[in-house]
Amino acid sequence: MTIKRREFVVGAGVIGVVGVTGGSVAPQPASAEHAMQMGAKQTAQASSPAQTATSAPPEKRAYTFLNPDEATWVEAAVNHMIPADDLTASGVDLGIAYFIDQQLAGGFGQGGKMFMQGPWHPGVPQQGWQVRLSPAEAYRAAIPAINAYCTKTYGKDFSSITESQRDEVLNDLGTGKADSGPLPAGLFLDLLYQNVMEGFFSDPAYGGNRDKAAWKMIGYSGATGNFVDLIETTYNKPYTEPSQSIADLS
Amino acid sequence: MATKLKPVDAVIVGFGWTGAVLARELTKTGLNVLALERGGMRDTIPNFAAPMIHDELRFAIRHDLMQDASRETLTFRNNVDQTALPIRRWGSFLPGNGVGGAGVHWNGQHYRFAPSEFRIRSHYGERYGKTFIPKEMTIQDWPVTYDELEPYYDRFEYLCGTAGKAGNIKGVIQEGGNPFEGSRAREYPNPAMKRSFQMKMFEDATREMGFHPYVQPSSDVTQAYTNPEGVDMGSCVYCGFCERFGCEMSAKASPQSTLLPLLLKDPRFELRTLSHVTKVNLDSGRKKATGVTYIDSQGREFEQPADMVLLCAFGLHNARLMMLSGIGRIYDPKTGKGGVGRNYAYQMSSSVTAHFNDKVFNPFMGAGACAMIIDDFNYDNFDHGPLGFVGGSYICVESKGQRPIDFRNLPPGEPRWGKGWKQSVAHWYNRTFVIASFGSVTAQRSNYLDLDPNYKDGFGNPLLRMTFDFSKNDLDMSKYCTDRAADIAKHMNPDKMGINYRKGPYSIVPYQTTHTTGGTIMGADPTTSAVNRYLQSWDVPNVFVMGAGAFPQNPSHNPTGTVGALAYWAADAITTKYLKSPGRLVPS
Repeated sequence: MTIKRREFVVGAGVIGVVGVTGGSVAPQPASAEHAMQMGAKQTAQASSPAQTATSAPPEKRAYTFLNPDEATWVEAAVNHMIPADDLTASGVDLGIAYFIDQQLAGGFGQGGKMFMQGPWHPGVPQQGWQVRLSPAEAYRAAIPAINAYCTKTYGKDFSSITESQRDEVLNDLGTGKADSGPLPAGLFLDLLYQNVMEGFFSDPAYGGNRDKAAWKMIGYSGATGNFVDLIETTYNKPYTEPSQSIADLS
Repeated sequence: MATKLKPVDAVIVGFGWTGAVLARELTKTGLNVLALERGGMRDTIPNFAAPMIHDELRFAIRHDLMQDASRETLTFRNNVDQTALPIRRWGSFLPGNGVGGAGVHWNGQHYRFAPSEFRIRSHYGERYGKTFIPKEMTIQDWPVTYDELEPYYDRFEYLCGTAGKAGNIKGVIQEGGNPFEGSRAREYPNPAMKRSFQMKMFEDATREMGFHPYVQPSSDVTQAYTNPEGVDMGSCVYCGFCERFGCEMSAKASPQSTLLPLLLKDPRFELRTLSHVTKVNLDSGRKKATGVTYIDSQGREFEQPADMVLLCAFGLHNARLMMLSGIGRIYDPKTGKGGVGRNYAYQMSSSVTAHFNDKVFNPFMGAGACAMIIDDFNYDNFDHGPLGFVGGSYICVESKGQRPIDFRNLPPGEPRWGKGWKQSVAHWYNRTFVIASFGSVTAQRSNYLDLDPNYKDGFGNPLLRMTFDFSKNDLDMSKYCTDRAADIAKHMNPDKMGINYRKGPYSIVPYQTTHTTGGTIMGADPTTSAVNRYLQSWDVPNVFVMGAGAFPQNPSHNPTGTVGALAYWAADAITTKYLKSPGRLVPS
């Protein structure tokens, strides 16, 4: 099972935190500490034309929240939603899985600004989040349940099923047809989707959107901000200046 | 046991726009004013410094400047048959926190309400007959007219350096302005915002269709400006980071960029931050406030005596504080009696997306109040007779900076992820704009605020409970106006378009607007309002209650212009009438 997951990772051309060296199959890391050591072995191989253009090898980065099974799952989901193509490198190579890990480890994931006092009731959808779990706990609860659903339905876990099956599972998570454990239908897909989009489009300071790839892809200016002389003079003309991150401007 | 502090002349609860205006007006008369703010100190430098402030994730998505819901939130249900549950994380609206309040992170969209709005019930009755307004619709005339408020609207616009083009000066319609607006005494203090390509397209299309486009009045100031208080403001650079962000240029009007520098130098003024007011204290007769109780960051309780208590927090908090303090009678939907919590209302938002293969819009360029508007379907500017609903919407194209985590409008039917999605977003992000409709919400007997019986905040006080749903009237209105926005989109002949109607039931999950109104409404009748025409509590005359909670219903246009005008109006009544003869300014 473990080997198969790794093979998927290799097959997808991923150079992730729990990644591979020179195409060989790496053992599954057993702990966050181990993951960090494994991270040190990663190499900066180009997996897409877009990545060839990047300026430096990916920084060595360790997961500090996701356990190995969760990391495998999140990487598969991230690369499914943001696959490598001629527009950008894969979601994992852009740091989105790392971004999610860091968000889950921090205030957002821990529900730092969420009201978590009882009593608890399911309520109605228009009352929003009413599960007694932080976002990080929601990932922790959902991932094994989804893997179990995939194994039951397709005979393999989420990271090992085909691309079209993965598409089906994600869509079925939205409708509730696919089981996400103790969570109400749709909640986990919404959370995951939001976090993937955040990791893709937020400032690279947070670990995703490596080399501002998502900003370049859509032509977004980034953190830069003085358009007083352009807003009335660039009618129907593309903005040609490079996207700028907070670090670029600091 | 609370520590009793040295008395002050006036204590302000919450230091946002209205707190700043009242502090300035009252200190000018020689009063000692203390402002208690539950959040922390923030100023342009260093809190809003660029490039740090240009961080969509931190500010727009994670709500860095907003109230921390883990400590205090409110509960919500659509109707009395549901059990209200806490809003565990913010969605539909975003209450602010800290010095400057929502005045820090607003967009700068600075409107006046139309004259007809101030006498809405009378107006509809006269034009469409008394039976036109359904029984359950509890809209009320304001106890103040547009003409009475005009000088105060003017004052707040000049304080903010509002940029715009007048549509009506002393009754004379002005070319390029909004011809539906009420008469104003003079032109705006600064010239209108620049037009983006998509604004120009909307302007041309709506003019061709016979409508009356105008550039949105903006308190994102368009040139270096010194306001009448002598405070210098910067000039907007159209960076596109206004809504949910502070302004690094001091170009967006805020308490910090218009009044705070003066107040911080004034020995008659003190700003005490991280001080959370838990109640207004009343004397034994419960007809006079003796001051407030607050808790500091170490949990110490203080009693702050004051001759006057000015509730200047966000409308929802003012309503809750009145209820927690026992000021006024809490509204009961069964009997329809009680002024506090009554007529809670919101704003209807919907949109049409227009997508053009052969055009490029650079949607990141802009400012929070950089938009082209029509009011042809707003207020009673169109014939409601055959339509059967009350209210309307302004329809607009906004160039307020489309940051990509939040704003990626694709044509209908596009994939949500994968290669197909990437190609779609890469193509359409820069080739799309939104025609938005922002409309009124009529007050309804079943929509109100009270105290929650089950949930408490970190201080052990009941949370506010919101009971709210969209009415058929407002959904019909929104549908009609969204269809008019779609007509405009079609006129521009886009390659693709999408229509996003607002549908019920109301949900607190997706962000819509933070224009919550009502709950402490002003009125002429003490049995159906919380405060009188001077925003003075009917029951405890040395308590004044500011903010959009005073609006008897939500008129459609954004609230801040009127919030500021009412603050000046109330300040004028306090300084010229109340201080001379403290007591009720309106007999009940």
